[in-house]
Amino acid sequence: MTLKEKHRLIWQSFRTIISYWYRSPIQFFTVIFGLALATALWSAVQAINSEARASYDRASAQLSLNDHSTITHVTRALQLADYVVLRRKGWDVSPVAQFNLPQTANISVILIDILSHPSRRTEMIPSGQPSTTEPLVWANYITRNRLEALDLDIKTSLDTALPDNVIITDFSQAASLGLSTTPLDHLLLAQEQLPNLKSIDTLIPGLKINRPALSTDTGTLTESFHLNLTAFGFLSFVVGLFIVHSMINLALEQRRGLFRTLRCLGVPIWVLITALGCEMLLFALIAGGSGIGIGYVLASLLMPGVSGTLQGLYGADIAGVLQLRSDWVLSGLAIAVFGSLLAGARGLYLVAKLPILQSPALFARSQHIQRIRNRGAIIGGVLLFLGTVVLLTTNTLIGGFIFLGALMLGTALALPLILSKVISALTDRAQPGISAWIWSDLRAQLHMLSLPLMALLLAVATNIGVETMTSSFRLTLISWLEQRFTADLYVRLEGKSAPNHIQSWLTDQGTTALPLMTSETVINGHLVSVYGLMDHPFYEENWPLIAKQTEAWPTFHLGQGIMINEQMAYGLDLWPGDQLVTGHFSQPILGVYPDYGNTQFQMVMAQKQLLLSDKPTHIPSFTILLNKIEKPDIINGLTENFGIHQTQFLDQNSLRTRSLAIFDQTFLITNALNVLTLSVAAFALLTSFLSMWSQRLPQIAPIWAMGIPSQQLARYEIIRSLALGALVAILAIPLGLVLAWTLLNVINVQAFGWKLPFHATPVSWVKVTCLSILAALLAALIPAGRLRSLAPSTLLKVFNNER
Amino acid sequence: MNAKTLIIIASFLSTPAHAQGFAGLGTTADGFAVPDPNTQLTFPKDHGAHPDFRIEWWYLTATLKDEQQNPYGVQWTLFRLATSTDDGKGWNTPHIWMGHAAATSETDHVFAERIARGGIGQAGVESAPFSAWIDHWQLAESKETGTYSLHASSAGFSYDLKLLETGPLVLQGQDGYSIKSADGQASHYYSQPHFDAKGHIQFGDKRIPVQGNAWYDREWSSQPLSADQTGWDWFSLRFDTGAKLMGFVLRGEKENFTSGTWISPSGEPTPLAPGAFIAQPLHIHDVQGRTIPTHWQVELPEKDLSVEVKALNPNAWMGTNFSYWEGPVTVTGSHNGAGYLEMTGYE
Repeated sequence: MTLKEKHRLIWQSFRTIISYWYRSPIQFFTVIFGLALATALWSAVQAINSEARASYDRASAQLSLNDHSTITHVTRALQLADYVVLRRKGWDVSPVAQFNLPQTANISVILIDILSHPSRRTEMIPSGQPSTTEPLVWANYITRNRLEALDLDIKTSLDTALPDNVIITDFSQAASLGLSTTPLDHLLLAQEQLPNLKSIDTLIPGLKINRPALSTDTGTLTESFHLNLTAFGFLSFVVGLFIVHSMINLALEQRRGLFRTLRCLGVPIWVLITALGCEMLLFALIAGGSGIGIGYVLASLLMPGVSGTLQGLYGADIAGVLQLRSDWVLSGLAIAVFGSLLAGARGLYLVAKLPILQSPALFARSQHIQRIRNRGAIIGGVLLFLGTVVLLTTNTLIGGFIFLGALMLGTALALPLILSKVISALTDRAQPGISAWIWSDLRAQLHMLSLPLMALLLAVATNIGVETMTSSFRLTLISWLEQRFTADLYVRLEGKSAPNHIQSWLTDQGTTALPLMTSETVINGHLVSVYGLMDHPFYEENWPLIAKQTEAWPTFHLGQGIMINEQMAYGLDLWPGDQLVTGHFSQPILGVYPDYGNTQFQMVMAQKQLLLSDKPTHIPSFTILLNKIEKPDIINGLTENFGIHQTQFLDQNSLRTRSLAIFDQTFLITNALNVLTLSVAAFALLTSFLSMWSQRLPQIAPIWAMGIPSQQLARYEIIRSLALGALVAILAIPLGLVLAWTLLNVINVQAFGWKLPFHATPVSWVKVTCLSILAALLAALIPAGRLRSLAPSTLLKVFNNER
Repeated sequence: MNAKTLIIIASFLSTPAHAQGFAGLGTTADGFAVPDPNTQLTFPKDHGAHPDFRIEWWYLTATLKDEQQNPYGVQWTLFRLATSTDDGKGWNTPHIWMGHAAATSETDHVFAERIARGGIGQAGVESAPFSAWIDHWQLAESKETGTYSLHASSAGFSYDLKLLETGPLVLQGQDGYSIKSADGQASHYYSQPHFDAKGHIQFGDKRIPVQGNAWYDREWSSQPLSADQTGWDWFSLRFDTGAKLMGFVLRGEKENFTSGTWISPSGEPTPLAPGAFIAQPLHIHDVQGRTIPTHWQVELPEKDLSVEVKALNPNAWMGTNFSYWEGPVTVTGSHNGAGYLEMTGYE
């Protein structure tokens, strides 16, 4: 055969194969749509992930004041000259002044120099032509409205990241508005500094560097959000592969007769395989392209959720606009092409082995099928075992993820065997006759349905796992916030405040003021914040402990032991009863307390014990119990007497509300993705039902001939699907719980350093089970509808064509 | 000839004018002083700032060699821009300052940028004793007459040079009045091309002792470019004969405008008529996504000069807020030597 003839033969075979789709347009669209859906889910998750990553970077760059070390003077207020001296000696510092706006109650003005400010300057100085005339005064909506209400002629640019009643402005703008610009409150110290600079207290005696104040770090929540999306990306990939696999099988299964005819006509097997390969590639490209389009739309719809989350986390205004980024566009196409080829390899292999003269005895392969099931179960078992070994021996984040992967895949592989055993048991118990037939018929089809059922299992289990994790997280957070932040008011002190005066003033007012004394130390190379707590029952009543010695608090207040946060306990493997020894310092651990949202090690000791140590201490904040004194009175008094700004107050309600709002936003998108994954699994199930259709007729025809009307057969079809959905959901519940346990106790501890208590949420299990059954119902509707309207002649033909 | 970003930053910080030409240098001079051909430059007063004018710059380049005769280049520039004609003090000042520093070898090119507000002491210029600074970068007169020190440092590089004045100041154009376009845009412009330089450059951890010459330019104006001029190619060349040449091509949408000054070995300037200075690109180079002519044929027929001017390092791109190409060059042909080349407006 010449090369030209070979090409012609391939082309003719290709045309013949393709021509099938002219006659079955619905099937054609099902295959394309299925492939596109798989690509879409993958692309959407990737798109959101990459957009979110890009947004984090922008948002992190905007995060400002608390992240930088500051410079203050120990005895006097800073002057502009101090700033200039440091700049002229090479120090990268930026001035900040802060005061209350004259003639207004409680509006703080923070003055910065946008030309030198570490976090604002990059966005403030445009690299293109000037495009904006916005004033260099920033405020959020609430503050802006207050300024308008006060009839102050201050035009502001919107910055939703700012707290209420705070204005940020440039020094030059403040000067032009006639506001005071001196003295400076502090200097911000950029993280990167030139080498070999003279130390600041050599340049100006009395200057000192203050490390960034510990704040509730939103970064860890961000990370957890990321982890969620990454897990979903992985899951969508697996579910996508399943669906691609069932699509390709559908496309091949439907044309077995055609292939046989072509082979009988003398088309060599390699020509057939080449033509099919070309067809697969074509499908993959068409479907992949449209899948990316659908994914883009999907991600655009979900993006507001993501930007909402980021807005919650950072208070920053992130544009909910999705950009086409080459990484996820290419990865979307890649999953369509490689997924199709990977998933189609087995199908092509079967075509290659296709006997020419005899139709494959599909259902006479029970022994073979049994072997496949057993093999799957064995591989699954081995995976589970290996995953557990990795988890127990490595105790790392990667180990946790390997365990998760092995758990999910192992269980999915074992699913056909488990289902077959369960259905066998049901068959044995069924009454002879039609119900026995239903069960045994179901078992016979199980091998064809195993892949979509695995996908469904994974989707349902992930739903349960993630839902359990988020609700555990939420419940824990609420109770922690309630316990830990019970005081009525918290005040953060800055630079020049005199803690002694503030404390005596607060006491005079009738409130209880508990100063929080702070210091720092380094233990095993970790920077540890040390807090000194006053002897007051408040702590014992409100400070939750996850592990403690007996009589922990009385011993603590006697100065005979310390308590550490959970991060430090896990990080240094120190638990109640252990002794913390570092240098001359040696103290027993009395208790371990949860400290969600923090990433640093922390320990608390009795205040007198901290005072006796040789460490320099300062009082960065007061916990205030109002004892029925009016909160506004105290706030106003502190503002008037001590110049404390609005930004320095934190009350329990706003803290709680804000934390929970952030949290709920973070997991909003998770729920949307949950539903999407389930839908894809349902679609995979539907296509499997469809691909089984031609083989169903020879089995249904005899039953119909025995007098069971097709309507009744259609009902059985639905019952069968519902049963499968319910069975899978029931099996998925324990898997989901193990998944949640792993997320809470392994992944979380490794990733963030804190463990979350497990809260079971049966309501969500019922909800997901219902969703799974609904998915199965939807998948069965089309085949059942077809069955219902089947013409008797079609069923009779089965007997005519009896092979 | 050098100014860039100040207009844009300034116009962003205040009321934006409709910026024209490269970096807005073609923006009209509304309310600011305008260069006057009758102005007699006086020193040391004119070494200092001219706050009535919108823009000005103190600009030093040095062509240097190490002990093994490997060539290097150093750039140090300080810009001032007034955002308005107001006479505010302290934070209220309308002046913004910007510094650019770069060090270039055949293989490396490193640069940094600093921006500061005037009026608070963080950046500025004093005329006597002379001192120009932004943060810790500084060009300042030393105690010994005619000597100066230059310093800049940033992440990854630094340099320190001692400069010794060896000849007279050179007034560019007509007694320091330099015309920039057929429409009459102009600036006040003088140079000190007679500096011996010695010191060191540090690339990362590598400290390299160097020696050579430096060229200092001072220029101020309020609208140095006409609205249709998009950029320029500016040459400062020092020949082995001791003669020097400053020449520039201002690229316009309608036509190019060329001018320059021939400086004799004794420092005697001869202004060049428009069109006398000819510069033709010989080779273009892709750098940072731009196509830049880094190899030129330069002709000055009246001095029988025909030379090839070639970039020491074609990748000497200044990726600052307003980016441009600036680096040392070698000169071969009828005259041999070295110099500096600046090219702007290649977007």
